[in-house]
Amino acid sequence: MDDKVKLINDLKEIVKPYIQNQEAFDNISEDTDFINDLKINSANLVDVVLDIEDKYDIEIDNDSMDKMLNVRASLEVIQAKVASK
Amino acid sequence: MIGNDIVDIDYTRKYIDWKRRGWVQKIFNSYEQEIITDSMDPFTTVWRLWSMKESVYKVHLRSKQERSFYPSKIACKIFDGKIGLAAFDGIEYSTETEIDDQYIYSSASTYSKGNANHHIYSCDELKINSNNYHNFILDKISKDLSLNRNQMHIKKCALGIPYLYFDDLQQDACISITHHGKYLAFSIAHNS
Repeated sequence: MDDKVKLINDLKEIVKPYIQNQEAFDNISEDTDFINDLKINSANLVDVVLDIEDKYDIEIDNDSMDKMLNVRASLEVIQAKVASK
Repeated sequence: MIGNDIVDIDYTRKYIDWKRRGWVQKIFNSYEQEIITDSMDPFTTVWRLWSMKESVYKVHLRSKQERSFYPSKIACKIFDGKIGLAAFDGIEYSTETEIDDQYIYSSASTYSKGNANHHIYSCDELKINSNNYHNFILDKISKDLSLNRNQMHIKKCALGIPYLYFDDLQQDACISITHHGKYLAFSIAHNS
């Protein structure tokens, strides 16, 4: 499986408990926005970041967290942090 | 400009585990973490500070037109009673927080005190939901200001910021809307 497709699928599992828009979740893509599309509560966005840290055993600093409002930016942060491990 | 945020206490207790390892550290700076630890009621302090940060973020978003997620960089101080102060990106914001048994409501403003009006509603009692709350708010505003409801609209821009329109003209009056769990609140401020 293509790495990016696998990453999106992993991310889909991570955000699943927090989404409030099933249709946007079913059609998740790199362009999907966590707040505007998936309607994730912003307090739960922190849980998404913590779940990503746990899954990939990485630490996401606050400057990186700044950008993590959508799937594309989150994939970029994950890839960069995993690569620098 | 104005921004607001409401926290439904029951909903938050049910769905958000703020005691989760790392959660507080991602959102609050070391000074705020100390306030939380020293607080008699850490839950209320956490969500008071959170709602202050969210309301400041909304003012900043409206002003800079750029989205981001940087809760720990909005530095908050709380004083006795309702008043708070938040600093972000070189700007200071005054905040006011109302703490009820059921909700915590904060607003942040760059307007002088008294220009903003705040309205808080329980959605269950009024049958408001995420699909119809703009209509509900417009009904209220048109009634309060004796304006023709049919000429009024609320439109959200691509960043999700709501703007008030009258006869398709964007109004100077600034509106901020917050919906969480069973609570809806809006504030309207006039730039005068």
